Amino acid sequence: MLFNSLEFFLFLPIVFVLYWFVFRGRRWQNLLVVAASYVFYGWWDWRFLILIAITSCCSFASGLLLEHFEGKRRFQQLVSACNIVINLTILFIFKYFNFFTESLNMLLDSLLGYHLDNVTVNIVLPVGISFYTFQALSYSIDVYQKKLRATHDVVEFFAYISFFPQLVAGPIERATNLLPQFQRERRFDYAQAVDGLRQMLWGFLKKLVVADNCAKIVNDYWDQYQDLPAVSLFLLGVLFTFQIYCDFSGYSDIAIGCARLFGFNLMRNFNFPYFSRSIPEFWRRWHISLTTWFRDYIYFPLGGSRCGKWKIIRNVFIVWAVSGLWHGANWTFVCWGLFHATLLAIYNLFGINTKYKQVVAHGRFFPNIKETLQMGLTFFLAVIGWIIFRAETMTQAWQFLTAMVSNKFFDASLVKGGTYLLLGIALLAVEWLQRDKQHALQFGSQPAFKHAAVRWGIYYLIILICYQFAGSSQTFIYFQF
Amino acid sequence: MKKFIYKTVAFVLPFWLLLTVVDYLFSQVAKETNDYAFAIESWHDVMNGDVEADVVVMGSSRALYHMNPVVMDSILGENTYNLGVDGRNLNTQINKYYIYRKRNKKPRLIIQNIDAFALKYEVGYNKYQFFPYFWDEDMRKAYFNEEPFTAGEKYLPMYRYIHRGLWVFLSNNEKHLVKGFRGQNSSWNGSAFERIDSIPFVVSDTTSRRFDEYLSQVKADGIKVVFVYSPIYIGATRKMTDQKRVYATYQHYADKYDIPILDYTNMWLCYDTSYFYNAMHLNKQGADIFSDSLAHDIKRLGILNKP
Repeated sequence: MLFNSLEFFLFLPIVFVLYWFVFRGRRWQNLLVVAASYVFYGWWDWRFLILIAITSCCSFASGLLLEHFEGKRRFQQLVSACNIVINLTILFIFKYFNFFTESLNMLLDSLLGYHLDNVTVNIVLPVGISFYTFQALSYSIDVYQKKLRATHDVVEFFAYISFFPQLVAGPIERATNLLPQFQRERRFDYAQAVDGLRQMLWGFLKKLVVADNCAKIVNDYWDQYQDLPAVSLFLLGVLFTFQIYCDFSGYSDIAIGCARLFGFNLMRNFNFPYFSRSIPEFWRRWHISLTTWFRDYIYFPLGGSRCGKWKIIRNVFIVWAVSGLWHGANWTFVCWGLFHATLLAIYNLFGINTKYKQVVAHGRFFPNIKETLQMGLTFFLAVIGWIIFRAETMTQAWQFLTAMVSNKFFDASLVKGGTYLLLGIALLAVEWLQRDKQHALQFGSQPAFKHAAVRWGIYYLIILICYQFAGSSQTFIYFQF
Repeated sequence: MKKFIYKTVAFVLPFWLLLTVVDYLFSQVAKETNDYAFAIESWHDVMNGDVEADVVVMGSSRALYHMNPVVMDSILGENTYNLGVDGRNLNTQINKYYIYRKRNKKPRLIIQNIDAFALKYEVGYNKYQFFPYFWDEDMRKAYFNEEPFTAGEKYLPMYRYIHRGLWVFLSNNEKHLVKGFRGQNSSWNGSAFERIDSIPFVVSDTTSRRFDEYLSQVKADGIKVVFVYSPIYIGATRKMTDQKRVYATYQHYADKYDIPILDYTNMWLCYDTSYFYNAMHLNKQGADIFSDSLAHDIKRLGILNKP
């Protein structure tokens, strides 16, 4: 079920009413969350519910076994390893099998002239498999590392894995944050619910108005890169940069807002990343739940930053190669990851301080020249990265990037994306004003927003903007991951 | 919780009601527009129920642009109205006929344009023509679930108008149709046709079944029908890959319901591009010549006078 579908607009109020008025009490509410989440996910293809159930069962059982073998580290290592292997095998089969066999085939063909026939199989990628697999892994690793006690309640564990607001595109929750919320009674909090609705509204605006419209232009023109002038290619890159941000952070806003209606606080996933002053800062603000996951479960165990400079750089490259692969079974994603790893290594090698304590232009309306240049450079690098990310093959990515410098700079065949570019800029302008908040519609103590009429006027205006500008419905980009 | 529900309802309900009222009022205004290939203008006549035609022309754009009721009336001495729907095959045409029948007097004769495209099943083209009629029960039954309307267009009041652009429905109310006919004063522009290698004949089971039911109903109502293959530029006819099957298919219906067929696909004007504005459509000059010829043939065969 898509957030931007009629089904969801019927589903959400029904589940909300059942949750707060019919299924009273924590256990019943957890049961309802599981049932609702399975309906939500099964709306696409009910057969893939079996995969979520298997993942949930394995991780739940691993938690119990880890507790059972308390004090027997060898057994615990074995249990933890088995759980990781099972989860990653499922992920590998459904997401990477064809990619690796095709790559192996190409390698054998080019090195030995040997060609394997019929090595690929027709596998449908289950929506959001990377998200819930990582969420399940985080639980068993945390239990193994004794950051969390294993749960004995199968319902609350299934609810934790399948919680519908964030099931298919995150945020990738940690068991240490979300699971305890299923273990305690929830009380309806008016302020939290209202703010959740606001965040959802902002998410819908991002998705419907900016992401979907930019998607149409990008999809229509992307393949014509050899004929378009450089300025249009850069515009396409910028439009895709807006699209992916508004698509993914829009989804996260809706997910977080939706969870708040049910009394849950999910972790923040985006923190206005395009206002970053460096690539390291960008990655502390973009898809936070994934970058911190990699930091905690791969980067730190490899030694993190507490080792020699070259080891740090090696660790960065390992993490970003895996991160690229997590995004999709294509070399473009791996190269995109390595592109960012290179940038991060450069920042590291030159010892550029990127640990800013405050948001950009803190206490000021406009950034200073240095901050503007830093943000401009970071945005430009992000655009280059997203062009690699969007390309279907590395050849296409390379040709696109070279066309940006070799094609005519300007001619009449401009891309028709001016309106959507302006919409994207307008949206970023609002976010700039609210950059010290959790989301753009979180009203602070400004006197104007104390009047309900002003706030409601803003909400109605956003709804009418969605009425006017909503693009043709597109699925969320990150569903494929 | 009470406060939350109260405020949510207070936020949504008045807004929803207001938009619903505005939607209803705006729909009345939008019915006066002539946009979307003049389709709304034609719907306006049909829905008002004052057509009072003895002869109705049915078909796609190849009826809309080809058969001039004014020319035909001058020969037949009857009142003719053209129900042609641009870009639409028989499925949509038949829906329009049933709505027409419900609100207008029974015709004596239906001139049904037929061709290689009529039995396809395609919806969506110019779906905006139905927007002003979402409040009409008959139109909703006929098109609401058949056309590819988005959920927003279907269920959110005013969404379909605001999203499409209010000015589209407000700015264009000059009349262009004459008794449902649209004369195209253009000269030959066959460039798109040059790129077409072949024109296949596609038959949909759904449309075929509906066509059969419609012919059966029309016969039961005592309305005469004549099938017409209206002119196509000869170059296009030569690109038809399955012309024999087209003829055989319509001959089957003609035999079943005792319907005469008039074929103009080899008429002399099909060889001269000066009577067409593209390979499939006559211009105004060609349409007048063809309408004259068609009316004379109908008169000569005495189709209207047969018992």
